[in-house]
Amino acid sequence: MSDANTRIDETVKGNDVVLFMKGTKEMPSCGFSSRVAGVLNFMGVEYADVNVLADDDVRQGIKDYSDWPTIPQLYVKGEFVGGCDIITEMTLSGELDTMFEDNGVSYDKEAANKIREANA
Amino acid sequence: MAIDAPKIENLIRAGFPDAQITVQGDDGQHFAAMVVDESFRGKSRVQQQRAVNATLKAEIDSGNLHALALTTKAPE
Repeated sequence: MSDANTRIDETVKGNDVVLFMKGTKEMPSCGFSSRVAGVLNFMGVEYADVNVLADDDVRQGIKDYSDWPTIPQLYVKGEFVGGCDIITEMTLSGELDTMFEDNGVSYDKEAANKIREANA
Repeated sequence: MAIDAPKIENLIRAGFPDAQITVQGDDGQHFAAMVVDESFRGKSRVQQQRAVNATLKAEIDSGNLHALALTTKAPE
């Protein structure tokens, strides 16, 4: 495994919830990253954010790691969950809530419902 | 090299000959595709979309295809 791959693997396995994104959760620098970070922030999910723009090896490496061509990428308990489109669909359908519950990740159910109400 | 919606559809079609495929987008960079295929049944969205992305890998890697909003599902 390359150095970047090792670091990615440690980050993914060492945090319950990790978002690889462009920018940071406080200051996303891409609309797609912003949308996923926004959902997690609003739902009060505790997560680690990795800014791929700060490290070219990670920016490419994460795509190879997950066999997924785009960023952002959300991982829960070591498993790749999806990118922006999938997380958006899962948020609106309630599947994201179920996935968090199944994995023992705490989140604000009321906030999740508010997102769904606003997008109904 | 620019890419257009029919070319994207052909590439996806090569991997999913029997799928129902709709590709939209005419600015040469941003596209939206819907792929409905029986082979998706029982698979997660990640697995479904990895399979579709694989048919477009060359175009994604080369940067020809900049953004593709993908929706995948099995037939109702």
